[in-house]
Amino acid sequence: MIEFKSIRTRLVFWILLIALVPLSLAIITTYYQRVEVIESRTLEKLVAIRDLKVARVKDWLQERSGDLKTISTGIELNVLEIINSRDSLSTNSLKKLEKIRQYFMLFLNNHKSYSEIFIISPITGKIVISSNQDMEGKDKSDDDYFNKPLESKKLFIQDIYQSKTLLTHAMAFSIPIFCAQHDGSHVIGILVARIDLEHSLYPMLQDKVGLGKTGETLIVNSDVMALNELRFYEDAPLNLQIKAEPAIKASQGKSGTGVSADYRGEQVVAAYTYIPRTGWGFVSKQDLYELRAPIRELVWNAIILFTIACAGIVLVAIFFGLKISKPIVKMSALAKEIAGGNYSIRSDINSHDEVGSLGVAINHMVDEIEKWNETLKDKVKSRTVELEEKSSEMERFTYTVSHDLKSPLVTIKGFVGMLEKDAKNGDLKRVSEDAKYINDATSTMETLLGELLDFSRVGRLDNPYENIPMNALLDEVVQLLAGPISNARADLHIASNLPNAYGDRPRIKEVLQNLIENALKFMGDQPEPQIDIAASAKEGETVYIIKDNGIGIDKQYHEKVFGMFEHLDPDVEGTGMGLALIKRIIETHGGRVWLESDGKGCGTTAFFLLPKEGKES
Amino acid sequence: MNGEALNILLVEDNAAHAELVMRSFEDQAVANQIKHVKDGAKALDYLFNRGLYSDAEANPLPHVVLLDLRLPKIDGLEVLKQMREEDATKKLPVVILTTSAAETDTAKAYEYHANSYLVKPLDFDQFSKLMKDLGFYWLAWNHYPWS
Repeated sequence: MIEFKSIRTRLVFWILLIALVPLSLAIITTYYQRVEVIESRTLEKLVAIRDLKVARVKDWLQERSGDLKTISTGIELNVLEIINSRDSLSTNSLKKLEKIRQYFMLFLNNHKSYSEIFIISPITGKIVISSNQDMEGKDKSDDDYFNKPLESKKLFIQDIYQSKTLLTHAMAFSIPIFCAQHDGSHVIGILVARIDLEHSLYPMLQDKVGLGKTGETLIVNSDVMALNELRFYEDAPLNLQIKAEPAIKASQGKSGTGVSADYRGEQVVAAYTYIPRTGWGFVSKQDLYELRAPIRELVWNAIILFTIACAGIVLVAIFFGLKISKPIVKMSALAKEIAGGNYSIRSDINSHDEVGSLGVAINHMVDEIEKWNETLKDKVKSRTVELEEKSSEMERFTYTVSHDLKSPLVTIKGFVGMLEKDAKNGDLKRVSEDAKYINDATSTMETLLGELLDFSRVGRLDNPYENIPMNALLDEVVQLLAGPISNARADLHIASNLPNAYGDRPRIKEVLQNLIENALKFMGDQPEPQIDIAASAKEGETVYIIKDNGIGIDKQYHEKVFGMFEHLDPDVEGTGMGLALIKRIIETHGGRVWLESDGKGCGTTAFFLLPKEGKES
Repeated sequence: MNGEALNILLVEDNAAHAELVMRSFEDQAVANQIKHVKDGAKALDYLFNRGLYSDAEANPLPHVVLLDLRLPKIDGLEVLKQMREEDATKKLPVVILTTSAAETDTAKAYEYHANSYLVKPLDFDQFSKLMKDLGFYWLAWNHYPWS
């Protein structure tokens, strides 16, 4: 199968094939039919012309023979007298001679076929009487027209020949004149009629009616020499031997038709036959080239038609090819563009055919891809943010851990060195100071390690989530912190009917405990310390509020305090892990924790938000 | 600057560490005077003569600031940054003295034009030697832009 690089080429090819093959077949068929028709018609015509002319030639020959017979029988007695008294003609004989001559001349006048009529004496071989008186007395004893009839005693037709006396081609009919007085077999003279070919036979042959511009009829003798003037050969009679097949066959006594080369070598259609009486071959012929002129015209017309059809078909095919392939090419470019990552592009083909529905399908597909792509992008973005957060959290964690764990070590090592020095110096007061620093650092370290462990467990070692009645949980916390609360002489007010929380009960307890401890820790010199605990439920989430009237906190530190090991006041006890731990626990629950305070001395409010059951992320 | 005392502002939240630094300087051959503040906010207040330290006479600019990085309220790097933004403290030598050897801290500190970055050695002898060298270096060798 042929491979096409484009739909257009394919269409052009197939339409051409479908349209032009039948057209070509039709043209070829018509051509051959027309050739056959024309040739067969021409042959019929040529045969008709041949038969007609041959019939006329035969008739003409017959007429001439009849003429001679008539003349010969009418004049026999007078002729006898004249011949016998040749040497000394009597006036009577002279009269008779003159009478015959007059008759001959009259005959010539009436019959255009003849140029001369004369009688030859069988004894002397000389012309006795002639229509042309100048010819009388001329010796013709060597001529065939004298000898042949004398021998055969029958009519003789002298075939066309080159006459020595007339210096032109001639033809003659001769007949013996028999003496009626005897047994009728005694020849008393030979009557010869010379034919005027120009006025009799030749016009008949040269009549070219129905033979077009190249057709002609011709006769040949037994040597296949042309006997009449030809259209394409000057001075042909008895000069041109014809080698063409029809003429040869005709001279051989055959009849027929055929296409072959003529005496010029030109292809002709010919009909030929034989005229037995004279031994002539007769040919009527016409050039094939001329016959084929209408066919050539037909072929030219066909070629023009074919070319126009081709051009038309190619144009139509290109047009339809373009019409069909254009949207497909467009669609393919579109698909490439989409494959390249451009999802904002759309097909603008709005036809109702297959291409149109392909466009709709592609648009739908791109919509989907775009949607998914956006979703995917968003997902990747949020995951990246999450990962970045996790990663930086991890970094911060290791950083703070390494830093803050190293810190007590520096203290311990340093004061051990100091201790040695002070012991050496016997400075006991300093020794005990040094020991206290060491001791404190060790305790700090212990606390740090414990809190770190606790911190690292959040989100890793969790208890199953449950509904937590917050009032009950707060009662437990208050019991746990009974000492510090009474030490601070704080007034704790917890709202009744707090909404249940959903989460890890021990962890939430830790959060509450830490926040209340912080509130107590940062009461400052408040004369009437007060802590209010309340909640506000919104759709899907609950915010718990722990409000104190302590020292408050500067706005710039509201976030910083949630960092690990962050503490604002170096003089206040603690490792700085409390709020970091709370933040971690609440965030593990999918919630949020934040502080609000109008600044120093205005108290602090801690908020933590927890999603309701089934809402945590 | 020989013959003069070396004034140091020590910004250190850890009381034990501050005590260690100050005791190390007690044994110094060079005369020195250390002002200790416990957080970044106080350090800036002191340097810019704000709040408790508004008396410029009583609270003069030190020769050098020994700055810890992890500080309450205002972080050490933030203190350094703000110092570099003020004309008065722009050229003041700042020596970072911290437990952190983290690359990010080092890079950030130098980005804010810290003059030196020292990591507190664990070993007591080394700690003492560092403090001794530090004092000597900044008093005996260092040239200051205003002298």
